[in-house]
Amino acid sequence: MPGSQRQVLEDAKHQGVFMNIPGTLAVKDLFHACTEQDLAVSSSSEIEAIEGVVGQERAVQAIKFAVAMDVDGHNVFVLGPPGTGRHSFLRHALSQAAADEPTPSDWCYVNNFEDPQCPLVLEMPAGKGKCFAAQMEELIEEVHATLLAAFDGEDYRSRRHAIEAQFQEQQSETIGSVHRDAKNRSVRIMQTPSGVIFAPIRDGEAIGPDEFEKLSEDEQQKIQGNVEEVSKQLHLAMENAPKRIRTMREQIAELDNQVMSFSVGSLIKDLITAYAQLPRIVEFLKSLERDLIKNSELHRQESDKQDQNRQVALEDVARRRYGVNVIVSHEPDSAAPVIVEERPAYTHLIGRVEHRAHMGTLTTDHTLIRGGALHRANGGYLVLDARRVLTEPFAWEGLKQALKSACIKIESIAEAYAMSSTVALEPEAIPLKVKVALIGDRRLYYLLQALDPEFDDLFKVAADFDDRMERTIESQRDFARVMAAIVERSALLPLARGAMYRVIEESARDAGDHRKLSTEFRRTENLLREGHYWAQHNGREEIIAEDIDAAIESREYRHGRIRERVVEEITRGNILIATDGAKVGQINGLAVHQMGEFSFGRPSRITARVSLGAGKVIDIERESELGGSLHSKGILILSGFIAATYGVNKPLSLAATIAFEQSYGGIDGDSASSAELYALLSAIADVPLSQSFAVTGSVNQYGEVQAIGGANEKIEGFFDVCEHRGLTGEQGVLIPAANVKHLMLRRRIIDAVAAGQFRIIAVSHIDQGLALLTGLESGTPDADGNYPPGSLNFLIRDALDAMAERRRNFSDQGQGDGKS
Amino acid sequence: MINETHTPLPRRITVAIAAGESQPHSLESIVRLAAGYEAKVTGVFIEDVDMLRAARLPFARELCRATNVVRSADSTEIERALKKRAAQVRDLIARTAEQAGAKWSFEVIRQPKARAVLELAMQTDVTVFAAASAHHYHGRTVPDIAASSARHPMSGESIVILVDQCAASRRVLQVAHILAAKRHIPIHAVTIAATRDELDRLAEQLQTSADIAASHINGLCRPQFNDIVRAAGAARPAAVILPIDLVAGSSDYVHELEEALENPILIVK
Repeated sequence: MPGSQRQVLEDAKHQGVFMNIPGTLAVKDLFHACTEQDLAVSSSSEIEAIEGVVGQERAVQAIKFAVAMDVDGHNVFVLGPPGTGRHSFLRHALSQAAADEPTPSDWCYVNNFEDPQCPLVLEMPAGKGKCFAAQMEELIEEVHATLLAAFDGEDYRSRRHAIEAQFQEQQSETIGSVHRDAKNRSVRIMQTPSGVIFAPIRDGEAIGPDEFEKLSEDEQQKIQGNVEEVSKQLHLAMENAPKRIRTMREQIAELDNQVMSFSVGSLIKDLITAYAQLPRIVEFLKSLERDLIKNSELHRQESDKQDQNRQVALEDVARRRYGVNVIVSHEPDSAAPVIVEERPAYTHLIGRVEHRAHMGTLTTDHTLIRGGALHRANGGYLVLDARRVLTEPFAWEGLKQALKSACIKIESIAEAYAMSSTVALEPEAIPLKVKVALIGDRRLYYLLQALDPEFDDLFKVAADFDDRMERTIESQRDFARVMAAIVERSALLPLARGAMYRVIEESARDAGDHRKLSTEFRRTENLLREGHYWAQHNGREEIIAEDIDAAIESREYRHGRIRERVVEEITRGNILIATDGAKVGQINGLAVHQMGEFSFGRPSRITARVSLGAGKVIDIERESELGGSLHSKGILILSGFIAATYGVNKPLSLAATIAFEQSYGGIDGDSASSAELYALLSAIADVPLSQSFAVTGSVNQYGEVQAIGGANEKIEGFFDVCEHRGLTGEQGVLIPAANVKHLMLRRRIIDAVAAGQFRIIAVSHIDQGLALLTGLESGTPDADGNYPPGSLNFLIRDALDAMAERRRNFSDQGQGDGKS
Repeated sequence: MINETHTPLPRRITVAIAAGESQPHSLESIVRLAAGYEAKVTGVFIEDVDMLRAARLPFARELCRATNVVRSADSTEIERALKKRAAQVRDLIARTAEQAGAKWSFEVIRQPKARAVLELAMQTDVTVFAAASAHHYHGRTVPDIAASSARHPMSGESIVILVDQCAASRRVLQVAHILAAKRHIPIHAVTIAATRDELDRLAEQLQTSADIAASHINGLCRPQFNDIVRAAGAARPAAVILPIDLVAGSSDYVHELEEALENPILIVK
């Protein structure tokens, strides 16, 4: 760097050039305070609390539209950041809508006597489900008692005895005739361990082999013939026994049917009359009657006092067989349901079939069917967290399937995916009419839109909750009403005027724009609670501005360990950041670190070196795979700016490298591209840059400085370092002019600016920044594109021309050498 | 005669079990009865000599209970099955008696069954044997009856007693009362006498001293033995109890009882 240029910079400093630099922001630009004009109340207790949501007109309208659209597929996806009141407003809106809608039906599962694997579903008016279940339970008990009496009665017993006696008589007659014939033939029928044997008898005793041998051949043949004849007769008599038993059973069954029909029919008749308007129930009751008659033994064992356990088991079987499983029950006139399912696992949504262990085996029946959230919400509204639905296995597919088919079919996942081949229930599907509201973040919504082709058909309405709203007098008053509501709901101390102002100002800072307010009311609520704590801590009866400040400061302190460590490392010289002097090719950039909800800015040294080359700017971060694509884009843009601005007539003949010094993590974003450009131009022109400044802002190919995010945090990050080293009055931050509206700086910075100890300067073009950082005029090109001699741009072009010339000379020398 | 007061309680009870009884239905009830008296139970497994003789005949035939198939009888196989069955019965008696807290013993004898039962009845206070009626041939071909019998050790609607003028009739009544009280079923009496007057006196005594309803008394005057057996079977008995005097004349009476009835028979000395 030529000595004259250095001197210019030093002189400029000494002459106080910076003090009058255009773009230096006044205190009023750094913070947009809330005033009495905005909110003219002295306490939150004077304000009427507001319930619901503020500043979300678009989302509110969308939800109302979705509720009003009684068409399939107009389910709603509520998107937006957490803490904006999505849940509370949605519940409020749905509850209001549901209150005017009719109470949906009750649903019950009952046994399908024809096919127990496929239980039947019964729909009945609200409130009737439990009533019907109780009636059925009573009916079964009555049937049980009635049948016990009937089957234990003398009439039944004598008729049954007659049938059995007839059988016994036939049996005895058949067997008896065989016995009589056997006796006549002197053959006795005797039992062996496994059957019967036929013994020829003489003188009351069986004839043995020795005695038999002594008989004449005729006698032997006669005896043998008798034995064979008796065995044949008994064999024939036994062959007919099963048929006789079947006949006896049929006769007993017929008798049972007659008794059952008489006893059960009269009991069921009353129920059939009561439910005559509901054909499905009448049909079920008739099938129930048939089944009761068919399975009369379930009600006839109690008289057997020797087998109580079996009796209990039979009663259990009867209870399960005829029990009514009320899946969904509503109180009459209780309006449509609004169900919020906090854990939308597949089975919690769609329902499940449970099993019970019996003798080492899992069994199930219709009484073990359990409904899910869809059953409970049927005829009303269901609110689900989208992320949870998507992270629960099969839940999303199950939900879509139910909405598409407009019915709820309870299905075992294992069975649906052929993971299990056991026999399972297939309950009849229940018609579904429900409005589903999914709540999720924007990213999730757009991902679903992009990746799931069915999503748009099922969730046609998007209710987009904004994270910010305009800061107007009206909205600030609404905001104050929200604060009043929070105070009321959470039983906090009332807010003094100043405290309300501070909360509103903090909300604007959270929004990152002094013309906006954050709609993340959860943060506001937390701030109020913490302010309440400090007010109580200080023995106050209301929350004042100092309490809010204390809450903010203590929160920043709690989260500030990393920030303090960074400042400490800088002041101890472990991280090299200069806050005074001037240096070629070196500048202070600014970065923002996000630590959960807390973010802070910190300065980073950016350096640039140039040498003779082919016009390539090397991004060291990119080359070392530490830079992201946005950062690389910024580097390419500044390359384009240099080439277009200074190298129109000649090729750029430099090789430049740019680096974030002491950066060991990834870097992304283009907010440092203006700082990188300043460093690079300084290196080209060999003009030093003031180190008293830190710079932020992106740049385009025309050299215009563009807005960036986190302006407040970045400014505060550099201020912290300067303050720690001692404010000199020379230090400051260059920010894009477009970011001025975003400034809501902390009080200590505003105080420093007011005292002339720190400056914040808005720049809109690189030339402004260059002039400020170097103390030289940047220079405007004339009609021929030439810059005024001595101007910074002149020096840059001059340096580039010199490089081009040297490169050309090299090239010529190379060619000459080649030729020679 | 019928008055059971001062009648000494039975001290020895014998349960006679033969090969064909797949389930000694009466055993548990009888053992409990014995335990109640503090009487000793003796289990006797009878290997029926007549059956073994018949099995050794060259043309011997056996009708299988399970399949209703007639096949050649194998005496060796039958003997082996008898041994196995005897061991099972011994275990059953031991287990049942120990559970009930009764004294017990067990033995195996080889004799014609009816004669063996009669001899046992002459020696002990009460002898129990299972009848082997026609229905017992059915085995699995009459499953409901078999199942019913297995569940109910003494299924039937009454305890049937056969009583006459003999002294043992008192103990018949005594045992009948105990069994009937345990099973909550009535006693049916078949009275046997030489004259109508004697029958009337017997009926009167039963009604007054034993509280048996007149409708539950069936008088038989000079009956044939098969008339007595038929009258006993008609009352659907859970058990038939008779005095030794009625069968003491011949083992054929025992055989006749065994063939005609299908329930436990108790012979009281």
